[in-house]
Amino acid sequence: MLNSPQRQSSIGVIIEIIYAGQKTLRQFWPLLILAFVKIKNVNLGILITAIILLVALIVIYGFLYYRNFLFCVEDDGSFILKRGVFSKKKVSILPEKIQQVNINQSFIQRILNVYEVEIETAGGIEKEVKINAVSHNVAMEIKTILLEKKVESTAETEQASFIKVSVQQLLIYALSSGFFKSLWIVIIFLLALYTNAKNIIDKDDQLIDFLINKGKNHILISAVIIPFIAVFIFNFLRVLIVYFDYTIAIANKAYSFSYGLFNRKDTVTTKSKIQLVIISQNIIQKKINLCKMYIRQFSSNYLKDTKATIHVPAMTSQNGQFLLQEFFNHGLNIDAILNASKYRFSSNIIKYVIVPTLVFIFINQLVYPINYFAALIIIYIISVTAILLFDYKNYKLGIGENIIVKYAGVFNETRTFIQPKAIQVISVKQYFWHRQAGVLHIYLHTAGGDLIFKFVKQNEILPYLNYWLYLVEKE
Amino acid sequence: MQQETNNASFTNLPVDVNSLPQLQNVATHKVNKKLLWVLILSSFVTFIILISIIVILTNVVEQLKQYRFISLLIVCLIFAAYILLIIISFNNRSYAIRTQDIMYKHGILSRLTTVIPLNRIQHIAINEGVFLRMFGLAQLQIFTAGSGLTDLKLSGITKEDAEKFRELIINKIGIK
Repeated sequence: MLNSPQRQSSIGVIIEIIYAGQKTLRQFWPLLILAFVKIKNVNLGILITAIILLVALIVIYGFLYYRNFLFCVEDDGSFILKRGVFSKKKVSILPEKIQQVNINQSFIQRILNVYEVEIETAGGIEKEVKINAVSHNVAMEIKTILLEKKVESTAETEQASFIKVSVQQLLIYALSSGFFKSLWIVIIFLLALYTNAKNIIDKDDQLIDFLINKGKNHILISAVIIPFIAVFIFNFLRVLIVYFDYTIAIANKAYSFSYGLFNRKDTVTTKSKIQLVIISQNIIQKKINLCKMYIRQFSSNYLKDTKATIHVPAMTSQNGQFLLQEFFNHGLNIDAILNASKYRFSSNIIKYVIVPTLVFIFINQLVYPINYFAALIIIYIISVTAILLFDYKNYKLGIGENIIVKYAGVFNETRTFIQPKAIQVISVKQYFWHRQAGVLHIYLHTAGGDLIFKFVKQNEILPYLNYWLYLVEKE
Repeated sequence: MQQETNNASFTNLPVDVNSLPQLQNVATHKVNKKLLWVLILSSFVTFIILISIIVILTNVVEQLKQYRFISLLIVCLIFAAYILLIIISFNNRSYAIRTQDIMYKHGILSRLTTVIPLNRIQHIAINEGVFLRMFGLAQLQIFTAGSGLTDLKLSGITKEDAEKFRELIINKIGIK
């Protein structure tokens, strides 16, 4: 059906007209604002005529664009697209150049019940290979046909399995991930309130009486609970709009992630493109068995390429483990665990305890000769030392035959996974004061991000580095 | 292909690790001595710019006049220390091109060793800066997939060597 040139779904006329209007507005809005500000006494007749003329032009342009927009998939699997009103353009993409086919839905498309099909090419040779309005069936057909030609072994099609993220899980995610964020915002809010209140109170004695006698409960409610709830609700709504009905479909070594309330996003990746996976859970999420995941795909520049990272905001730990096993061919067995050298602890103690304490004492001596803050310093030293001790205990590198895992974090435990065969470059750094102790920092660069492990013992890690290099080089 | 190795120790791997080429024992070449002059010259340019900014600022802004001497002194001391570090650490700069990978060691306070397997290289470029060209040197730039942070920039080899290495690597891996 798709092998003859065809137009988009007929409702696409409206989409193209709206898009043409949006484009015009986007290009000419400074001019329009200028016109509004500068031209004072304009003839109403001329203005209306101009607007009607502009709208008519946009409608005609949109209509022509729709008429001229033709696409088809040829028998060999190459995708052909013809478009343009004034200058016509023909794009043809060979099947092997097609990287991904994404099906998205913007708000307008959702209202009109049509879908956008976006074709990503290798190296991004062609920008904007997009069909703006097709029905769901056509969109799915394009996607299957284009990706079918890519996958060699279409014979063994397995049944797709699904992982869904429920609204409750999103709620719990918003609550647990936003908890510390909300706490900070409330503390800052309270500090601002306190300094302001002090200014007012200094001027007005009656207010103090009022606050002490009557207002206690009101203040507690309005200053602590309301901002906290407001921040949380805002966070939850944001999470709900972005990640609503998050569905992960798994079939044939390909994974599709679709989510969103108004703008539905659909990203497809394959096992071979996945370079680095980060799974993390903070202490609250750990208690309730929830985790989140970042999947970093192969990218020519992962720092700039925002599409290269797929974020799964929440799922049960079992599902997280299931996905990991799936991504890494059930090769998660770990044969050896390397601990960080105790130099990690001592150098963190210098960095986060000794230096700040000395600086603080020094400044304190300059400003207030009497030590008001001695207790504060002691609390700081004890708590930070405890955190650093946990950080040192939790910081580990797990090594298996087909997997490298970095464990890190105190309040937010993260695990970073890469496969040795994904390594692109290995860097090793050693400060001269670490040479005697035989301590190294290692950087395993992949095309989806780096796994960095600091303060590892040289004699323990070097055999593995040699082995990983051997694995990569013998390919 | 998949091997089920539950809690197998590392020595059970299909290859004997100790027989593999050892990263730590690679004989590396020192970079060309002329590079030291290039490094000193280019930091000298930064130094001159800083000095002139300070002189101009302290002349134009009346309030800053009193700080002129101290700031010039500080900049000079930092520059002297930096030059000293460059000279001391110059011996750390070395490289090796092995049959399967290319290795570069450098660093001032630390020693950074970067190893790029040849089969991971995406493209190679030769850069000749003004100072490099003055001494007949060139910089071999090697790019892989992933971020630009992982690029290897091998300075301090002669122009001819850079061309030769590029040919060598390109022939080995068959890229253009």
